[in-house]
Amino acid sequence: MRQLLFMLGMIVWGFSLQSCKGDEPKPEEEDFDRAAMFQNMATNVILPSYASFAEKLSSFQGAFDAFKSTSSEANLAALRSAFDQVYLSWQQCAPYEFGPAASVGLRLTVNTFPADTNRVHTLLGMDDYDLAMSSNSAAKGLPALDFVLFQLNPDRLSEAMTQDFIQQNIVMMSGALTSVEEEWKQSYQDEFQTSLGSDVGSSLGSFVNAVNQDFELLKNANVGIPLGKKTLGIIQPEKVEALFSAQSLPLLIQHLQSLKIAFNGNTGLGLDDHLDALNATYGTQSLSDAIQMGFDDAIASAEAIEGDLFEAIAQSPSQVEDLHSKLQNLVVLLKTDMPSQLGVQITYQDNDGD
Amino acid sequence: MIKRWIHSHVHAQVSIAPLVTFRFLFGLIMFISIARFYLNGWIEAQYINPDFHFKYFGFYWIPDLTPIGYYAMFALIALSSLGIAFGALYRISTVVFFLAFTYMELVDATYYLNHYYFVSLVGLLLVFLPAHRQHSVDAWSGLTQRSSKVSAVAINAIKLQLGLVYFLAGVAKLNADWLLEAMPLAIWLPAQAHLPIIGEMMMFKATAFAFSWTGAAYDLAIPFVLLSPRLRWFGYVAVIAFHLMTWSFFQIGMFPFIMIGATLIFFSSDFHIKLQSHLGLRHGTFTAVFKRIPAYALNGLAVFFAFQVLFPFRYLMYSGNPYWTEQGFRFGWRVMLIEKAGYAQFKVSDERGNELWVDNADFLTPVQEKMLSTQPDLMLQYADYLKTHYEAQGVSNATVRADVHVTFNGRPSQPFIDPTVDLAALEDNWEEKAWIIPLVQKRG
Repeated sequence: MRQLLFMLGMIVWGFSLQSCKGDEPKPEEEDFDRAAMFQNMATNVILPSYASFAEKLSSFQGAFDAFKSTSSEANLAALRSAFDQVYLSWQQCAPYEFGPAASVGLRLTVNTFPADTNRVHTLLGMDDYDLAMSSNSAAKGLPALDFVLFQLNPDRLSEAMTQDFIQQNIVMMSGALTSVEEEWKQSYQDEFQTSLGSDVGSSLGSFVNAVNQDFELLKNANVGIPLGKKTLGIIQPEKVEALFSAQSLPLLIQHLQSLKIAFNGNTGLGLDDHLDALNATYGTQSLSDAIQMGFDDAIASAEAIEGDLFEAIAQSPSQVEDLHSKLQNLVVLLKTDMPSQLGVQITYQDNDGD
Repeated sequence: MIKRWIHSHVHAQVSIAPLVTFRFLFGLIMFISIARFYLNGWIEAQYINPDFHFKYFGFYWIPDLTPIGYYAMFALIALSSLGIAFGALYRISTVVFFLAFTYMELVDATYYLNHYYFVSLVGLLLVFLPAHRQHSVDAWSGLTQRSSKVSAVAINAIKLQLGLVYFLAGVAKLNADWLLEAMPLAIWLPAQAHLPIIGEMMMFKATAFAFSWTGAAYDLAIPFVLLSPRLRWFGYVAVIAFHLMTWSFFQIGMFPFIMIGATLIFFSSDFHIKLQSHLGLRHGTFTAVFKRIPAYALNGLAVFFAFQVLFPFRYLMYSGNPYWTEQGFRFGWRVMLIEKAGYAQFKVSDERGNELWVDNADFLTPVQEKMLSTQPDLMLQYADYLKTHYEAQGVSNATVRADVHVTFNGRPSQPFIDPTVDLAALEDNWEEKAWIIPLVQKRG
């Protein structure tokens, strides 16, 4: 028995030595600094996204105050344009629904679409209501304002009840955003940058799962559902994001660009560098390149769409179909190859062990 | 010669002490496992919340329970675990434990784990082993005849069960991915690179190789090491070190503790008598009637173990890599051998060819979706479920297809099943699933 163990020991030892020699220069031995990646994501991407969203919200508030004092055409145009800016800057925050954003429910507060316009009408006729109630879940935030600012008869924007509705929505969104930002600054940023494991509750786990979830939401809610993917091919173009301001396409492109930045960390360390450090490949290229190209393909496909998504889906859906299939290709890489290579867990449940 | 061996390993009367320790630790660890399961909110998350439960082939008839039913079932398992630990109404407890625990496993194949299978097997064994004859509520209260002895087979059956688990897990590790590529450890270990001191080592491929080879060697050798009186302490230290290490690295729950507790049975009866006397349990001698183990019982035991040895090799009936196709994969002690992630896009069509895409999150929990996206038999059940669901919604003569991509042990993702096959028209059976696409991807 001893001899057997000794032999096994020798084999293992010999094998390790041999593979040591062979592998020494290979990049799989590169040490990747996860903490530095999280720091980059937090300080250079996520927090600035929140700050920019807050700034755009306050400009919107300014434009709204100006419109309330003088409801001119010019002020209305300025108000609407400020709204478009808010919506665009939201897209930069969308991928990060984990940690404080998840506990506040930021996405549900800000961007549950399509808006339930009947419910918005009802609220506009009520003296007192609570936007936080679940019956109002699709009658608030940016989609509701999109309807109020761009679809309602502009005369009604001068009515006190409409103005009150707009004001309540601004307050609700700013409030949610402020609490997210405060929690990040007070405690979560430290936690985020120091939890270095790969289980579900770890930063890597929450981050990767949140980005993937947002990507799938984009694929399904922004493109798939309007394209009829849930309704046996019967198109539902009225379900696009920002239907009334007709900004669905620029918003979608911005959203895709934000997701790409969530992946590559913009100019700093990101998941792409993490995958490179692990020497993750996809066919003849690196996995990170394959994913970057997937994003570029999808963005190019979206940019080739003419008009906004509503028109494109209603009139010539083939270009939108192309976008959808590009998203479908990319989601495979994001949800299989990437988490698998990173060793990310998606659940707390026990695995087999021995 | 053979007769004497059989006599000393089967019929000979030996001290019951090792079996008593085993009974107590097994029951206690099971109780802790169930308490942990409950405290983690898993009864709700895994059993009550899902709208739909995947079943094992041959067990489609297992009914789902109401929320109260699930809690009651877990309460039964918890109570019967304590019954086993303290030898209280032992026979009833073991039967209840085995049935209730196995039932909960069969309710949803999503949560399949080899170690749950192991617990069921041990539960079944305990039904027939008189582990309650000493230091038990039953013995103290006179419900059972006291005995300080037990037929050797009672202890050896447990040893054999443990040895089989290790050895077969070792055999399963003798494959190219594990030995020649150090997969999946070469993926899993770098994920631990943040750990202090040892973390840096985890980035080296050599570490993954060392772990893979020592892991295989450990599994294959440990039953024999534990059987050898000279090497036993060395072996047990290795057991503790090995299981604590895997426990700290991987999300594997209670299994390491079950094994650390269970393998104590390999120690001598003197060891166990001393251990128990430290706890104030005096090892009295009670004469029991010597009973020869009847032939039918031994035959039953032989069938029980033969099944465990043979069943894992059913994969030989199928072509392709069983770790890829998962045909004949379960109940084979294939632990920690695959790192897989899949993405399954199901599509339902009506008779005119209009198609809708299913959002799995509408029907499944994240864990169920994860398991679905790599396991072909679950895809068939899901397709049936979708067909029923959408036909009730007015989709006439629904057909169900799926685009599934899977990445396996670090290979690039590739299509997993034939996207043109109507999965709802297929029945699961023992035959080869020809609609699984063979593994073609190579590691870069």
